[in-house]
Amino acid sequence: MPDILEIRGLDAFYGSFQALFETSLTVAEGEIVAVIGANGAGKSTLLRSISGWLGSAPDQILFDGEPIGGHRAESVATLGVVMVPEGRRIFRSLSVEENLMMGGYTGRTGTWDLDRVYDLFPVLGERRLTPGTRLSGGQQQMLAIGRGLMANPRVLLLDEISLGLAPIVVKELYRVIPTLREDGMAVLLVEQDVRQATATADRIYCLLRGRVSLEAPADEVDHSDLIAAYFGVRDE
Amino acid sequence: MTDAIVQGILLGGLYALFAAGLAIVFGVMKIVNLAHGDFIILSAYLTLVAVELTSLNPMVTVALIAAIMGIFGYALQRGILNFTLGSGILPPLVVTFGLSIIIQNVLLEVFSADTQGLDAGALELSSMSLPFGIAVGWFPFLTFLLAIAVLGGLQLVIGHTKMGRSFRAVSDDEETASLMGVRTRHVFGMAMAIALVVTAIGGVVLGIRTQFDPALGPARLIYAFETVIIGGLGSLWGTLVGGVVLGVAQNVGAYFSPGWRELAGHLVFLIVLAWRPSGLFGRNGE
Repeated sequence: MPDILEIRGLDAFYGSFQALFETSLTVAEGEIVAVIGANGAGKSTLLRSISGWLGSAPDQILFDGEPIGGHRAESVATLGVVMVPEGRRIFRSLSVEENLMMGGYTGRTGTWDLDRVYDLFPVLGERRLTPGTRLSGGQQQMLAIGRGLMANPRVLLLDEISLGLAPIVVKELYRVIPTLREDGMAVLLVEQDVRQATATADRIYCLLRGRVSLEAPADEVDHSDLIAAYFGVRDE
Repeated sequence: MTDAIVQGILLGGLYALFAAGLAIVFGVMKIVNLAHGDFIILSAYLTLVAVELTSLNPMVTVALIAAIMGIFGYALQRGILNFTLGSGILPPLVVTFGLSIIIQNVLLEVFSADTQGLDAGALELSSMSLPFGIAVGWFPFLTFLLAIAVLGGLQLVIGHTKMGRSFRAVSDDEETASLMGVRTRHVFGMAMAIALVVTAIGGVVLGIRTQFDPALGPARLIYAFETVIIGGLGSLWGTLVGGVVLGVAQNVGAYFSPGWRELAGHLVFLIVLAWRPSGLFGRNGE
């Protein structure tokens, strides 16, 4: 499968602080890629750069071979690279259904619509008229994912969807990710939970202090290599 | 006294028209538009010009004036006000304050300080009789109905259209809305356009009801503010109630002494502010 997303030597900055150093990464069509790493390793920075929230040089981020680095977030979304942001960020003045409809704002067509999201997460359909922020944490995360899917993305970026949720809820959320592949959607997810990430993804990248410290197919990851890549010290 | 209250209620419709535009601009962009009152007066002067050119009844020109002000609003937001956003509340305050002064002086230059009026013909003078010896002018009555229709229309647009959803989403969380493909700068332009359409309707009505001159804007701004605060931010129908409360307070004050008109309005505003800082229909904690 050709690469739908390619990150080439990405440097990312918050003011004068550099958070990513020459990071390179690829995601193929229909591939699920997980980025793991400790707090502050640069995982969220990577997604913020791709989504357009954070500036970057044009040819450091390629979508379908076209440079999109430094594009505004709204044009990145319109192209079909859609981020589910960390912390869910549900619109509090909007009902569950209106939140989902905002997800479809770009008018991109595809297989995802309200009915299909409600099939995937029936609880959202049951509570569709409830204000979005009235839902439980796990349901809000379902809503955030559903909202992302409503855009019919070609690449879905998931930022720490398990954060602060009970293990059983996390399992429920991760259940849906393999089904996305069937649509040919590519998924790039950032996760702190290494076990969850390796269980879900085809390939993983580990970030350490803003640099890629490991890249491997998820089912071939060597445990001690991973620990070394994650913490930066080799466990002898 | 009853008469003063009835007239005050009807006046509330006009105040709601003044206030709705201010509330939308604050709600979506978080801009406190200090030129709002001058936009009202500008609309009245535009109507004056339109009437002189076409000799139509001013109420007939409403759609034209509303369209002109709407386009002006979009251009103003995209061309100037969007650049004042993102670094605190001060830049938009200063810029709209400057706009207020510019509009007043341009009107003064073009139209002089003489008071002007719009003549709506028989509509302005005819009235109907209610029980208890109260006479209600058709024009204030129609103004009130117009305010209800405008607020109802706004409610439909904001509550049930894609554009309205984008207003609320951007108001909640601009950054996240951009992830949905929302072009915030365009949404802000549209919000200002709609706000000025409503403001223009208020301006035409004002011009028919009363005499106006270029310096009248700031006082209309104060009325609009008081209406929004009494009604409560974030509630469109609240602005109608706020307008009614303010209108009744002013008219009852004037009933006792003409000099108490403004004072009574301000006092009621202060009482509501002290008693319910988020307004009668405001969402708490916001």
